[in-house]
Amino acid sequence: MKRTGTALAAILMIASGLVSASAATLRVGIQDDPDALDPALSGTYSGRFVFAALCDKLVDISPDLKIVPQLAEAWEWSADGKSITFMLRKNVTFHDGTAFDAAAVKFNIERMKTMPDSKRKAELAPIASVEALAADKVKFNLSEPFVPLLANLSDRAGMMVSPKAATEKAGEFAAAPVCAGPYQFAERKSRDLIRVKKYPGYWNAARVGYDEVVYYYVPDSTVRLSRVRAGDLDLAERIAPTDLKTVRDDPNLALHSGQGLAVSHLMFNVGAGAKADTPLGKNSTLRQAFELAIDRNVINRVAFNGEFLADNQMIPPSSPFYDSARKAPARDVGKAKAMIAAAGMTRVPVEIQYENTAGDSRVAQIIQSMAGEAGFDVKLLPMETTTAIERYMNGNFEAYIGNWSGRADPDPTLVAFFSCAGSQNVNKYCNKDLDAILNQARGEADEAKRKALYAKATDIYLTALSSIPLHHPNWFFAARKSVGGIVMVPDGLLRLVGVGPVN
Amino acid sequence: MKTLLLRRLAVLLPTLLLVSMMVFGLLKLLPGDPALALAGEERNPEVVEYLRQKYRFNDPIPVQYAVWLKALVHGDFGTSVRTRLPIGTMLAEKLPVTVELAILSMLVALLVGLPIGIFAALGRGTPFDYGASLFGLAGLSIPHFWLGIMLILLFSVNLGWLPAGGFVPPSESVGRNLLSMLMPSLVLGTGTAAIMMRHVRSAMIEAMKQDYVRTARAKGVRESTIVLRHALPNALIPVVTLGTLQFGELLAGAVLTEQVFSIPGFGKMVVDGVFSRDYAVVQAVVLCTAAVFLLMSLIADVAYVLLNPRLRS
Repeated sequence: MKRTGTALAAILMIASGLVSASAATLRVGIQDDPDALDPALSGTYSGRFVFAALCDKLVDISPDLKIVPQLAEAWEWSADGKSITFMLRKNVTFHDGTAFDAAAVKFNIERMKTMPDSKRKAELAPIASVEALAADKVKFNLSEPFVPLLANLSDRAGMMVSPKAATEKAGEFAAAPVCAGPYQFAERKSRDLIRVKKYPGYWNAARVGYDEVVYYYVPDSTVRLSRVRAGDLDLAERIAPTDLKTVRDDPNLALHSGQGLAVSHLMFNVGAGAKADTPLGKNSTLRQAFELAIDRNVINRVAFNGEFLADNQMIPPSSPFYDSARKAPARDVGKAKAMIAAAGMTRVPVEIQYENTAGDSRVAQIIQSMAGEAGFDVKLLPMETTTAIERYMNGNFEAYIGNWSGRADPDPTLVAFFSCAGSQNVNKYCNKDLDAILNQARGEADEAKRKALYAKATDIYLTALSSIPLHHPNWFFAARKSVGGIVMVPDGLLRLVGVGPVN
Repeated sequence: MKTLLLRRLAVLLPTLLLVSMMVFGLLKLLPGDPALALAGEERNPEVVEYLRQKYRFNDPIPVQYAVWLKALVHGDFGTSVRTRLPIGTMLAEKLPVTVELAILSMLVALLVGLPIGIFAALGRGTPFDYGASLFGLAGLSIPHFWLGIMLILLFSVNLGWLPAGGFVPPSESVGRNLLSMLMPSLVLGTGTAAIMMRHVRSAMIEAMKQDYVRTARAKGVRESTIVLRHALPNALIPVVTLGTLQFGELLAGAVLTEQVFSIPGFGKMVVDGVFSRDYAVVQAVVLCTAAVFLLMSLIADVAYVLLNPRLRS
């Protein structure tokens, strides 16, 4: 019996030795199954995560949120800010061997602007027309000066797909995308894995360290981490803050963390339908009292082991446009009570809606308990995600815990949430002065002047407090020590150029 | 026998149709707008409207159902609205995985549940019997996800013997395929084994009380022959039915086990389909599962008749 046991163990060990794949494959665990693999259609973080291997963009962002060259080597704004000319990298080919040139750029921008279900329309809206000036020179004419354009082009709106493939395979393009990134698409088994292999014709192929990358869909973060610890995966994204100690304690693993662009915030319905007719919806002083009643650091500590970044602004501190003069107020229950009393009330009722995820549920409960001490009777209303989204879009809530993925430039976030016609302004806050400032800022090419404008905007939205920003999630990757060259960028995507095996 | 088969087969199609109608109706009752769920973070109203048109979310439900059914009759399961991948291919990828997991789990359940059940019945009241009851209770009450994570920690993280998850197709390597399926089928199998064990035990106790057992004993037949030749075949009749239905249930997918071990089977596919309102995906999986389940219950009925001579006339 004992001998059989030993033999069995030996067989298992030999067999599991075979399991570890060859050194040139990078196995990555991702939390969600990506949606359509077409930059024009994609709407998920996990999709962008895979695109970082497949599709290069005109420009990229650096860890300090500066715009850096990728497929475009240089660019130049016209004096009036109404056009921008890109000098394109030469000798770049798509994965099907066709050339990347000005005509391809024109095709891509027009495709994303005209495809009926394109999700990039808003990001590219200011582009009126595209002119191919030469094979390596392309000019975008804008309807109005729009500085954030470059930041928009550093994400999916700037990803270039092969015009040939996109035309020929129109309907099925997402099933086998063809781009100009370091890796080319090999196979996708839905809800299982996406395999990409090194594209030998990549313009920067010398710096591509792995022959193959496989993205495995592993939804549970604890399991994802276990598989990295077991050597089954080389890297896992979005490790839960509660698991970070395990990563730090494991001698075989390295924790890669970085500040993110995302923000979690508590939105109040101030003008959308009947649900806006609440004390908090009507009175900004009460909202300020609410802010004083909660302690962001406690939320961060209790819900996220203190691993996120407690903050009072929609724009993360990593952004050059962050307003460091506007600090988060310290918790002051006495003052909050006094403000409630001054408004002629003793108890203020409010119902907070949120998606029933573990993180949001914890945040909501902590807020409920802290705000209760100051005199806010918080009712909690957890909702299944798709239902929650519909109610959110229709302004059918008194208060809502929103999670916004953030953008490299402050413009899309602030305009979306605070301009009168903003796409995320579902709580219907409107201030014409703020609109004017945001409009001016998107046309202001001078960084210092632009920063001053955003400081003004920050003052306005933090006084009105139609939304109380709570914290910025940080990014956490757990990787085997054998994976070298990982650089964290605020968009939380794993860039593969420069990443390779180390001993 | 033949009439039974024909009768059951004749009911199969209408039942499937009814199931698909019910699922379709229930899905449409879910709150939440699928177009909003699909339109990305910015939810451009133009795009939302286009998606509503494209996927006919605005049409009356019977019309949507008819469109779906018409395509299905032509062998087209449709396209996943979320990933834009053909659902037929998705099913073809998932079905073998789910079937393999179900077979292996059933194997575990039989290898564990049957002998323990028999010996517990024979040694009623002995420590072994109590141990078996304890196992039965534990097998039924230990949550799969917990057991799964514990096994991963022990065998993958600490001992490094087994892969922590993921699925290796047998076409790539049979050995690695079995290794990757070992822990999932153990986890799923123990639950089923516990149910099996309890049924075998009580059926066996019942059988051992029968007159024919007493007669056999009186004839001086050996105890092992009594158990194996006389009592067991009779005790197994209800167990076969149970086993077939349990197998059908295993085929419906095991959401938590699949999630813990990242097995790309039916379970998680249908749950995520519901959450993202990917109606066509849910419909396809449910239809597949219902068909398999009906088939299994048909097999159970046939086996019941075959095993029980009294029903054969």
